[in-house]
Amino acid sequence: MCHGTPRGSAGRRPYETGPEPADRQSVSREPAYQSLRRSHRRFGVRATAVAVGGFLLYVLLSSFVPGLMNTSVSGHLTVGLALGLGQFVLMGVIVWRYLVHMRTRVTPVVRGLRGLVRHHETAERQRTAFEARTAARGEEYRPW
Amino acid sequence: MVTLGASVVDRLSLQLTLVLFLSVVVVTLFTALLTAPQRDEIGEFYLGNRAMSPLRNGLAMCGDYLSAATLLGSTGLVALTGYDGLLYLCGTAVAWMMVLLLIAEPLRNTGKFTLGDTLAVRLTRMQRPVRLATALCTLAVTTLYLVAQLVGSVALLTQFTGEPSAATRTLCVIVIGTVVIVYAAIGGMPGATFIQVVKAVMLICGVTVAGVMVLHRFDWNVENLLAAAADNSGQGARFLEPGLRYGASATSKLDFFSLQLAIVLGLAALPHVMMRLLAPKSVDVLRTSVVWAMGLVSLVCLAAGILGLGATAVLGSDTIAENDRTGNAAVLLGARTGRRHPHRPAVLSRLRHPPRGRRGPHPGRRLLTRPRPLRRGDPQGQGDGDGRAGRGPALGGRHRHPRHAARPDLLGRQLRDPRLPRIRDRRLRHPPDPRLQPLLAAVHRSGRPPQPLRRPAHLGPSRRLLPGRQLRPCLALPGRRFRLVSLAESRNRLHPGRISPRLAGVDTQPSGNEGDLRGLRSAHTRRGRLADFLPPSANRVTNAWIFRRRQIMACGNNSRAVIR
Repeated sequence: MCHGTPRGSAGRRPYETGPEPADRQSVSREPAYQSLRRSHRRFGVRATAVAVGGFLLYVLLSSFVPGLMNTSVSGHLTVGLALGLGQFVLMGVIVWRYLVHMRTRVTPVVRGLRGLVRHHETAERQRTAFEARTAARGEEYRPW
Repeated sequence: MVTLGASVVDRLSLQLTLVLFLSVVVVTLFTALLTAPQRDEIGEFYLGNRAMSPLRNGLAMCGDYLSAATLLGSTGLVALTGYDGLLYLCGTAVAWMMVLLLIAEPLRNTGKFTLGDTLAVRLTRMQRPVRLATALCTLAVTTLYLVAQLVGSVALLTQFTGEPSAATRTLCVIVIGTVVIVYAAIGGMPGATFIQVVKAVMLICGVTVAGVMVLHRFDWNVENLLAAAADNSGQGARFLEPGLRYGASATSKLDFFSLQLAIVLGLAALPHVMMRLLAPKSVDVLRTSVVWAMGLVSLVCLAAGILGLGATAVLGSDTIAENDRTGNAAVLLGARTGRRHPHRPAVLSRLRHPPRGRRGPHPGRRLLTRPRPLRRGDPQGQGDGDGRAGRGPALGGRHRHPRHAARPDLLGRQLRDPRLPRIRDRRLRHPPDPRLQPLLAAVHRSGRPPQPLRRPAHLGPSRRLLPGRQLRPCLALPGRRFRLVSLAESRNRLHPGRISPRLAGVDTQPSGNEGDLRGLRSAHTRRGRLADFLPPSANRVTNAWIFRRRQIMACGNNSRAVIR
């Protein structure tokens, strides 16, 4: 019958482009993954710099420029105390932006990459099973 | 108030507190036994229940983070040094930012059980040295951390026993250490997590309630609180300015800066908090639980700040400093004194206007009614109801519909039979005063529309007339005497037009079809209520439907007409 040529795993069909299965690297080499990591780290570093740096700046201002911190906003509430409360507000804003960033940019890419990896594994498994099935068998019995 | 050491409160309450503390320890150990991992699975021992909800996880992280030293020490610091203490609390809360943004999710994605495992994943060829280094770092960090915690809790415990001495302190250290080791060894991670959750809940509730009480005492005015704190501390306005503790020289300022840097960046080095980041099963659970932990920590920090300021405002720094030099007892003292609140004058107004459900007549006015039987459902027989307005027309009340007037001993429409359908037609609900009935009958018999009401000419001008007063015979209708009826009631104002025979009390036309729905078709030719044609149905819905159909018929089969 005409199966198409029953060859072993070394030969591949013409529509199967790309590197050999043995040469395929892990998903960490993919550009999508790289850009995801880069963007996540970039956001994290910037947000941490804003939060922690802002707080440390506040500490430095309190220590070395007390005159600025003593001016009162309303009665006994000084600029220093108001900035302290503003730290909490700033924290809330940054957490909210972080959650939005993860929800909109990171999670979809992660899902896509996870699906890609799972697809690779499944395809690999099916491919090996197919080739095991269609491998050339030696002469098992005399046909006639 | 005697202020020497721990005798601020009397001995009995100290001993009571000690007994309470011991019972809490016993209960804790028991729960550690109960929540211990049942199977010999390493995952269960190290990671605990992986299916915990984000809130519980967040509570456990918050409980782990806010140790006794944090709460007591920072409240005392705020009470004694004001602005610097508040900065300290701020730093405690800001520390979680770096963890959330940079550390939490990548750690959970790569880690297995411990931090050592995570490092070993990256450095695959140097497993043993990496793990050894991580273990040494963990031991160093936990030793220092434990020392700080023990100082705070031993200070509190020796106060409860009432005899602060070196021997008592050593004994307390040994006792606390043994208890902690025992429950960590028995309970493993699940037990420790459960206890941290319970501790966090109690901590948050206690601190929040105490903060609310302090704010309530100052009438929710932050300005008052700050002013009182500044006044009662020994330093006046300097209390709310930076530098009370760390502002002596440039060195101490840099010291403070490095302290804050360590606090803010150092949370990542606390192993007992970091290991909880590895526990959840999925990343979004972790994200939500870290956000919960941040929120709860911020809440406790704000409340602790308020508590510290309140303690100073109420007691003064001297009392707190005499009690304990580091101010660790400020929390207790602040909580105890925040409980008193000023008597609100708003409470007194309630006494003058007691809330009454369905208002009866004002208790000052009494009506001339004979004693009535108890109303159904009335527990004490109070409440006169409508007074005369609820009784029949003979006593001055409204006329009640004949269908609902079957029980004359009942009072008003509240006690009519609820099974009967409501009467929607306002003309039927409020027929005119029955004393008008002969007049209306006479007008109906005459066949002419009634004239607008005029004052009888024979009476002469401008005599003051009151309802109920009998007049001389009316010449318009000889042989009849009439009483005046109040025109304030709208039911006595009849529309000029025809007076229906029903209103006149004349018998309505006898119906040909009775007990039959065929009468419905010719309903528009007949006058009178549909109830005259049909026997009343036992079904309220059917009655309503029949009534509605009759209304529609009367409008010429236009179901969209609004029928009043």
